[in-house]
Amino acid sequence: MEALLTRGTAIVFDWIEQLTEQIKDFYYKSFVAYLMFGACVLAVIGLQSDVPIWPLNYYSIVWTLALFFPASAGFYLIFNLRVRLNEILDIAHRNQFHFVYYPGVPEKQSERRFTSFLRQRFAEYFNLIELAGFSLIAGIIAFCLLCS
Amino acid sequence: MFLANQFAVPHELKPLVLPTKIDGWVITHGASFLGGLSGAFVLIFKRYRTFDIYPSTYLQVAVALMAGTFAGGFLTMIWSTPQTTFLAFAAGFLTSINVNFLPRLLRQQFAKLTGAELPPEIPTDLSLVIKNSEAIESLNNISLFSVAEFSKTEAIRIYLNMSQPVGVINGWMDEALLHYYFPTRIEALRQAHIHRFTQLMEALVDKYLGGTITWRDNVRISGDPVADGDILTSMKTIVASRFHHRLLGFLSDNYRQAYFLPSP
Repeated sequence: MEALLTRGTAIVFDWIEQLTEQIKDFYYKSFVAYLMFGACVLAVIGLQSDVPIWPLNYYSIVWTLALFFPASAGFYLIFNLRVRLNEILDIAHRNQFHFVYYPGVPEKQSERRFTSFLRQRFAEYFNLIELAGFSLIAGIIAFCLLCS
Repeated sequence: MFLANQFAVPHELKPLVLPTKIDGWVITHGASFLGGLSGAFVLIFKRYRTFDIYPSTYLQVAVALMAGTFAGGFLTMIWSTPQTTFLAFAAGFLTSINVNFLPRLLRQQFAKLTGAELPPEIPTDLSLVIKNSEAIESLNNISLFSVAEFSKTEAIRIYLNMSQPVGVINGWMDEALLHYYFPTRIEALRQAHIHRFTQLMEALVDKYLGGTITWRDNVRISGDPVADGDILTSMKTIVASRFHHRLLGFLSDNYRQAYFLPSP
């Protein structure tokens, strides 16, 4: 009975931990994306007197072309960023790849460690701040060159 | 600025009147910039569709917009053809799509103009196993240029840096191992319908027993007993070295069962 209770508690804690991590991750990437959208809106408002986006004129086209980069990065962050990670996690789970990295460890523990390792690697390759920053830089360069 | 002046008055768009003379330098630089911008849009669209956008993708766009614009404009000085503007546009476009295009082009033009002999470029042999130019470009972007490097790289790193399905990548890695270790036997193995390393391993293994492998004594693969003996010996040493232990754990179900999974 005691063993069953311990196991049950471990499963619940495991589930809560995973859920918390997913929620944290979701809000973090959304936060970065909305921050970037906010910066774009501020730039449009701030430059409205010199480079007006509205009423429609040449600069409306310039703004649209330049905002394409941060906008695409923002949407990618919100909707598509984790697709690749989820795909790998799904295949790894089905094929028990976690044992390849952590053999001789109980299944749940091995899977959790592997997931954590994969998430860490993923965060290194897909740094959100970098993605947002570089997309803004690309947009600024396009904007400046189109205005010159 | 010219276009801005044309459209400066809101709601009263003036008819587009081209100036009688525009500086050629402005036209070529403008064309290469617009080429770079168009290339950037195409690149982002393609990568967005395949979930292949990395922070470096936007850095590439930023670099290509600047480098492509400048280089396209200057390169047209040495291309005295009537299609100069188109060439400038194409130089910008191709730099955005593949940033390696520009250094290659500059090398060629520099060698042609000065007669200098530049060190030869080492061509990639990844096309032996990968028939997908986008996948090869992704590998080049993480500094993998050969089958030898590809077969020695950690699988997780490859999975995270390529947009192709994991099964497809596993197939390429499996074929890469075969090409790396048996380059002279590829044709003979193909005639025996063996295309992957793990397929060859299955043909040579008798049994997988918890942490050990028993090999077959008499194998017949190519029909040449000496060649088959060599293949078996090589395979035994490769597996015994455990250099590809983790990779084989990913690629082969039986290997994973024998070495990594808990006994049932």
